[in-house]
Amino acid sequence: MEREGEWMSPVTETFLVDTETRREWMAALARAIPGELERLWSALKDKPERYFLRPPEVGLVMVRGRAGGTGMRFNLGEATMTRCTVQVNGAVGTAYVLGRNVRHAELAALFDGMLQDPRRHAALMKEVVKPIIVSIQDRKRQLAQKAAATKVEFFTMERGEE
Amino acid sequence: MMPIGVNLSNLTPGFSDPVLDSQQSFRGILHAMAHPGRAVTLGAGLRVPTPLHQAAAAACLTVLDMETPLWTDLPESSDAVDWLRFHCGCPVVQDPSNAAFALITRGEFLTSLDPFNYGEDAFPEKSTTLIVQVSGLLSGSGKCSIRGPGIAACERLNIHGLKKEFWKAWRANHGLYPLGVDVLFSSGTTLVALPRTSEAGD
Repeated sequence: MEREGEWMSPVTETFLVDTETRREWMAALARAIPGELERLWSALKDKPERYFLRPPEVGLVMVRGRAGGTGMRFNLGEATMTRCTVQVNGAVGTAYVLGRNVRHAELAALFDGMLQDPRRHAALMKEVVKPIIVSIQDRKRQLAQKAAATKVEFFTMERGEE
Repeated sequence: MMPIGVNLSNLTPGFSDPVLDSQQSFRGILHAMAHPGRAVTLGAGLRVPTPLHQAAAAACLTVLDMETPLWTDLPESSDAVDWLRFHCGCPVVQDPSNAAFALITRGEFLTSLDPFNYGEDAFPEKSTTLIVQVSGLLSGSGKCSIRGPGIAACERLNIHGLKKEFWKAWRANHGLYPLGVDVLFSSGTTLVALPRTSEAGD
């Protein structure tokens, strides 16, 4: 289980804040299979103390899209989403995860907070984020293969004159 | 959705139990509104960013959300505004007349109520509700006397940190009934309501 820590104030250390890379790991954590994240978490040595700034809460987000990728955006429909913000050793980790799995949101936020710690970043990228990205790509490929097997080519036989 | 640009580094948590705490707090505000001039305790145990009072902060957590524009006398980039944006998700507006709620952290500078929204004849409930922090609040005795609905005879209140001009503005506000603003005074964990129906003076 997680150790409940105290709120730390204010943050004096420098944390990694490169938005592009953070976006990548946050997306990977949000798309991971919850069981996989749980396994990676329990395999982790030296678990940090955590302090909830916003305990996991379930809500709705409006999914918007463009028909054919062009034109005006329209509201496609609402999707359930769980969000969580947690303080981990002075860094603030946040997660927005599709669905209602509160544990998933909590773990994703915990990892996000830890990944901002320069002392742990490299190891976590290698042991947690990379395997998740590989697994996401595998699932994507399998899905694509399954879909490709049912692909139908439409063509017209060439007919002779008359 | 959370607005962009909220600085999370100094953030403290909101209600520890969002559902029960906000219900309890709402009940407290309701009680205060029904009994003008009588004190209720709100937000004890809440860790709030300076310069917010616990009662004012608890009231904000309870009544503010993304549909309630907030005006405040705090600078836009302050820990307190970040805290309100993060936990309430409320839009912060520049024009007090567009605000559903106004948070005034320094009551001594509140000398006029005209910048706020008094409501319209068709929709008097659309007026601004002011949450005003003062340096001291004590109900039961004091210079300030309050009369009106919800009070048997007269309620007395000791209130520190308000200018004379406020009471002048309040008399004008009371005269506008059914229009007018409602006020929630806060000091520490004490909250006292002054609805537009109340006649009050120092």
